[in-house]
Amino acid sequence: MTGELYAILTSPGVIVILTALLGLGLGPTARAGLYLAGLAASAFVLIGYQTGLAVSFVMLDAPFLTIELTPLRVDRLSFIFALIFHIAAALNVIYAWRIGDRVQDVAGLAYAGAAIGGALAGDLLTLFIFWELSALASAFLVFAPGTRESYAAGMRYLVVQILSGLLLLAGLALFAADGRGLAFEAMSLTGEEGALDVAALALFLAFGIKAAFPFLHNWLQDSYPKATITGSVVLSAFTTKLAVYALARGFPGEDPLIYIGAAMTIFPVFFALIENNLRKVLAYSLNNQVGFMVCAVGVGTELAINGAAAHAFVHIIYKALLFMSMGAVLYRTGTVKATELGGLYRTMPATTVFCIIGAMSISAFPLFSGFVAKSLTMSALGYEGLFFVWLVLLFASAGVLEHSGIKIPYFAFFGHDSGKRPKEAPPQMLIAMGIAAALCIGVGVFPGLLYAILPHEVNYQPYTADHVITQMQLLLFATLAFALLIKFKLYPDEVASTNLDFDWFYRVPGRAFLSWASGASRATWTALWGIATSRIHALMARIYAVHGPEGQLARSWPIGFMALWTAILLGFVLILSFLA
Amino acid sequence: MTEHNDMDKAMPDVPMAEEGEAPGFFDKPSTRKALWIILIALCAGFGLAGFIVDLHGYFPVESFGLFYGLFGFAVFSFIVLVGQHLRKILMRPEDYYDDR
Repeated sequence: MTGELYAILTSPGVIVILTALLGLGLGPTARAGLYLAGLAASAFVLIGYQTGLAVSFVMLDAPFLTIELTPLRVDRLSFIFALIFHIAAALNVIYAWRIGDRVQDVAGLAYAGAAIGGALAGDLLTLFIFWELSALASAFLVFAPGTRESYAAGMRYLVVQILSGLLLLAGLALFAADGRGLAFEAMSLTGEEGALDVAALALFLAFGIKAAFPFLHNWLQDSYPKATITGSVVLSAFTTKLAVYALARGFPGEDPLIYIGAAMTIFPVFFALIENNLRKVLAYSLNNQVGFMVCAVGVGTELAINGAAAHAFVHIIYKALLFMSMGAVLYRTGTVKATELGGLYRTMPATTVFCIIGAMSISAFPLFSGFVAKSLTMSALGYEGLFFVWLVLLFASAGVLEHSGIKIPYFAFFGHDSGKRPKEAPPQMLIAMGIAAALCIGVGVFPGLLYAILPHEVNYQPYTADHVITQMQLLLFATLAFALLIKFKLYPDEVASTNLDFDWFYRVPGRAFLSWASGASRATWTALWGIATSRIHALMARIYAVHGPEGQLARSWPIGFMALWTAILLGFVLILSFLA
Repeated sequence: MTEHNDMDKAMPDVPMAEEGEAPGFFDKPSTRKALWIILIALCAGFGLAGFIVDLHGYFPVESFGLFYGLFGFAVFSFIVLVGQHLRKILMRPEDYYDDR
């Protein structure tokens, strides 16, 4: 047991969370140094376990229930997710160095540690603990700006995240109650006789909320753009990808995921087109990218699971890079609204180049990281003959180019000149962006490095002539369409606006209903209380009338009355004695 | 509430362009012309390559040499030209949620 305890206490997630707490009392530079050292130590432990490890112990051994926990499980699937979480956390530490906000730094790294712990959890109870920890720690990043709107968004965020945790708790309780144990392994939504498995459904929805399935997605677009500069970089990496991991672990090959994923790739494309806040565009884009991963998990073949994991890996880096570049713009200009930006390439050339590298990666240009990952998923769909899903994802690929590949860099750094001439981003931010950009190109040029750590063995060559030609055609002709639309003034101007999404239903009618319901219940309560108190008053008045000082029962009785009753009683006794 | 979701206490002072500033590199007509030429040349090159190289995809449509190019062009135009009409349904003033 001591061996297991030691392994658990020195597991990567725990190390990272403890490091985060240790940094509480330090200054910005010492904290950043400590955090990088802690992450390096944790990554060292993780890589030491790369060949595979599961640490289990029996928590409860009662006649009716045996609970065995596996708080630490390293296999090929959890390894790649835990590894990329380390890289994302390190990038953020460097990026946030300049701002050096204590609360955000501690919450950001604790959040990363919770995500790492969640990815390495071998049982549902451990997963639940890290799941909730990640929700709590990340909420600080949404609250951090301290504005009224970030407070409200943070509350909505927290409610949704906790709901996800409760569903996870319900699912694991049902699993335990069924005597199925708490091991976190592949399951199915349907039982052996084809009946719906409620326990699995609860877990599926818990993961679905965090993965931002359609109609469950609004917490993401609501909160991420309102978080702080560094907050949105951190947030973009962990929650949704932990959910992708959980889906890949729990529901590989679950058919509905194919269609849920495909829907996720499509609808954000249109919302991103008309959105003015560029960080919100990135939030929609994140939704779209997670759709590719969810779809691949639904296909569930070895190639597809590799596609999902590879996509998550590269996505975390280029999405962080894009959020970092927008963060740098926000830091220097105070805004990320497309209507207030444009022409920044003149004075922020390095940020511009890094943003374009992120944009080309997410658009999956050959030699950039998105290409070598997305090809796996597209090929997996091809092998399975899922033509229409493949077509949808191809459509979405052109959509990615529109909102993340072109819109983000074009409206921030080119487009119509805003006249703003801000300074280049500070060096710490540039270093973080530079490392992320180098990783994007590195993985794109040497895909073997990524393929070596994928969950299943890879026998795939992304750089064939037809792959490159078809992908370049798709992207170049779409870019040509963009150029022509701009040239002929058919591309819509950005408009300062709020665009409604599904969250309108709970933010406007839902809220109105809630305030009506609370008003109605208050009125009902007041009425019931009024009736009850008036009844009690009336009752008390009657008792008072009868028993009070003036009441009938309180009157002093006359002697004659006593004499009469004595006579009646004596008469009664006389009759009784005669009868007897 | 603040207008921007910025964590910084004060809005940064953003220097503005000065009068008579020389046009930036990407604002010069010659640069723009060069970019157009490069884009069209690349499209033509990869478009032609689609007919030269045997494209053995997973589905029959992929064997047509310009399928991806036409698809990309059509989809991008569709998204932009049709998608913008969503604004008619979804667009509200920027402060829509402020008092809700």
